Amino acid sequence: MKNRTLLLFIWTLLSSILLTACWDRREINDLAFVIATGVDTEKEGKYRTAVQVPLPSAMGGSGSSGGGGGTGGEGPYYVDSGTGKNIRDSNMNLQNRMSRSLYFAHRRVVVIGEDLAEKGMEGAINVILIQPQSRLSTFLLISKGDASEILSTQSKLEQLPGEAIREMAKNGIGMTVKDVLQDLERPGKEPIIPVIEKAKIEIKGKATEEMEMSSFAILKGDKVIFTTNSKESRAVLWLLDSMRGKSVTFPYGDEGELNIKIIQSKLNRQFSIVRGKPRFTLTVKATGTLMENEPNVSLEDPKVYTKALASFEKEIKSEISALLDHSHSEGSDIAGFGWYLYKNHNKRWEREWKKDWGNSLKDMEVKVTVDGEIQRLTNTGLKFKE
Amino acid sequence: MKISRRKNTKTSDLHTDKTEQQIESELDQNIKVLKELFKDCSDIVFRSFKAGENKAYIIFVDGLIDTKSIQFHVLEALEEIEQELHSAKSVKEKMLSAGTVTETEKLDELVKQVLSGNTGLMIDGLETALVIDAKGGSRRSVAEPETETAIRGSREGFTESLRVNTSLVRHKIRSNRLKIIAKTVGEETQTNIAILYIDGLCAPELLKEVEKRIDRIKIDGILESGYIEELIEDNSWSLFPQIQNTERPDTVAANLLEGRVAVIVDGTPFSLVLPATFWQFLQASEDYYHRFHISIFLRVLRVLFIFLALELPAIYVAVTTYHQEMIPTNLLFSVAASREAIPFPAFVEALIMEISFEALREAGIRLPKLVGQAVSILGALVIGQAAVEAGIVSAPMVIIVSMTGIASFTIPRFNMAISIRLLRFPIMILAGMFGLYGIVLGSLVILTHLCKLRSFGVPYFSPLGPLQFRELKDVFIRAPWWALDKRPTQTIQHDITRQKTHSKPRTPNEI
Repeated sequence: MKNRTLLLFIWTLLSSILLTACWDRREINDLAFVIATGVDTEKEGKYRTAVQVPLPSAMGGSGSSGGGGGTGGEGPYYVDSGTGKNIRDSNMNLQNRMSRSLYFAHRRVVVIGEDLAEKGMEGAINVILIQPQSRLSTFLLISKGDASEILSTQSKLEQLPGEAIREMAKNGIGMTVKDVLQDLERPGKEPIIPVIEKAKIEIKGKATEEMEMSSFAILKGDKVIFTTNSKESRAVLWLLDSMRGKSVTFPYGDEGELNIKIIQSKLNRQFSIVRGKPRFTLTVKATGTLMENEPNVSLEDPKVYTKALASFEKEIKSEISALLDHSHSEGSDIAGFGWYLYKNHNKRWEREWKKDWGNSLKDMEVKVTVDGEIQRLTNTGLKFKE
Repeated sequence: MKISRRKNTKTSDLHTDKTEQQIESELDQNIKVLKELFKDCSDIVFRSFKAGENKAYIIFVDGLIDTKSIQFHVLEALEEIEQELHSAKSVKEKMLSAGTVTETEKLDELVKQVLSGNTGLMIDGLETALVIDAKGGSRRSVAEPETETAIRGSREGFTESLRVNTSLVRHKIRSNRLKIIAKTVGEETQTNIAILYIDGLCAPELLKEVEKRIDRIKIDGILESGYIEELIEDNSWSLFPQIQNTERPDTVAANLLEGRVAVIVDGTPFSLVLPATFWQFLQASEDYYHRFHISIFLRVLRVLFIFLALELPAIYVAVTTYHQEMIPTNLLFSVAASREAIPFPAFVEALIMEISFEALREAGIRLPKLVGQAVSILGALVIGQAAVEAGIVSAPMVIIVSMTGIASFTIPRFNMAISIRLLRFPIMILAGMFGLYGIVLGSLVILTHLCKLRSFGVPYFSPLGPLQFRELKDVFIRAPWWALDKRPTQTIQHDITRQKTHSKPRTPNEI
């Protein structure tokens, strides 16, 4: 009797476990792994979402015979786009054309089209935040032109464009979705997002296209207001303490140019109130190694060193001032001065500055000082004349 | 769970033809009875001769005795005498020059002794028979233990002979505190077993329990220590071995010194060591012979690999079918590329590979050595290259299965490796059904079971199960010998000092 109850118990237990099957099982070859998405606007307030999906069978793993390189032609990926009233809707539209279900957990890059970015992209970013599959560590970029076009630009060095974009973002200033969302939420701080564009290159008459990441989009709220030029772009790096490893070229009188590779950079903010108005002093401490010495000057000479250093500091100062002037005139606080006030002088910020911060930026005084040092020389300069 | 008991078992009188007969003074009468008992036993030899004036018989099993020493110590010694013999005692003391001679007055005792390889001597007119110990015959000599080879350490392994085995242990522990209790188990086989322990270290309750459980055994035959193991262990249904077996005398000696009990069974080189804990099965005797640095590394490695041996295929199945987001992107693409042409789900693929791997291993063990090599070459080709090229299994799966195989070989004790191999399949099924959730559930069940299990009163998972912090120095790591100054307290209660403290070597300057 006792045995029968036990058997019955085991029987029900086993059948309740074994008869249910594996509900959520998804084999790897039933999934389309999206590694990059591009979001653009269409007419009538519609969205167009482009996805880039690698084709595993063409990527040349073992077991799948063949695959492998070859110059030119299509890479081992597939780009398709769908339209819809919102991003989810456009994804559904896309899914109708796919034999494998879209899987976003491995998305590493989200590219937002220029048009959408200028209209405001909070909606697009929110979808990334809300959708459980996506990662907040996804890099967010803004494209010049349509995002879907960027996705179909074959990179020569990487198999997948999405991978190429990610590597570029990782090595430069990569803004993840989390960074951008944080900056959007912070009072008195505007996000900076790198811009990715197509660059036409021509070698021996052969025109090809590559992706390039050289400038930054300056935002106000969730809208892009302008894109930096090359001088301003370097200033962004100074502001974000990311100049390490990059170099600065500056003139040494009329004799030629010196190039210094930065080995250490540190930005300090000092705050004071002058006549009831906030005033900031930015101090950049920049230490570098002399890499190129066109005028062949000897920096061991204190006079030469002082002159070179002054030119070095002036160059950096002009870069930073250019960016700050431009963005402040547009009312965008990219250096986060307002955020500094929010954190350190919260009561006055709430009372006095918060309301009209964008306008008060325009006539706020920002002093930039540079504390430079050329620490090492790699090339003392051979003198052939002697 | 209960198993219905088989009816009409005669537990008490399996051995039916008991002869409670006394030896009579009439020799011919005795011989008649004995010949009747040994009817159709062609290996029993009755040899009559004249001992002095009396008629005498020696009875022995051909092949079990040393004929030369019987010839020299008994036959020649007694045939030279020219007087009538009156007492067995005087024969034993004055005339026989053999090493061990005992007297017996019971016929069944004599029969027992003859069957265990001694020689019986019966003299006409005496009511006492003499038993002369002159065992001989051919047995395997002491050789290197094949299942537990060591790079450093003793090369002696147990043999099939009980006496040789006890002597090997006695060689290691020359103390009068090493006690060896003899018992006979098996109604037909009359197998001799020896229970070894060190008086004062081994807890008396443990010894009593071991004796009690062994005395309970009423079986017709004991052919290997495995019989005893299954008949005395705590939880028969558990997949985990609760008694350690070893071929190495040094392992037995080390365990005796830690207060455990060893059971040596005649006829097998595998002796039992008990009680055992889970961690004991992850330790090799060599851990204590090499310098401690490598021992620590190896022990940590084994813990890691026992985990892999149990869960690696399951984790692969779970992650590739449920949690694709957990695989690094580039790895995922190469896994996806190799899985592109595979017709089976990952779980089925894993099952095919694991089962064929187990079959291959079994085939390799059973076959003669020369054929075994061919099997392993063939298996490597089938499981490895051909299957991948034919698109039946994917290359990552082959790597996973071979990693699992290697991992299960790192477990030093074969019987623990078996448990892990068996448990791998339910965990894989759980992973195939519920993903990582299933793996966690399965592992929890196993862990709970391990913590619940006991071996002769010692918690199986100790000193981790009930945490004894001090004992941990000999679990995941092996502390240097100068730091192992206390014995483990799982079985020892009183005399826990192994060596004097502060025995770390120092240079003369430091002292």
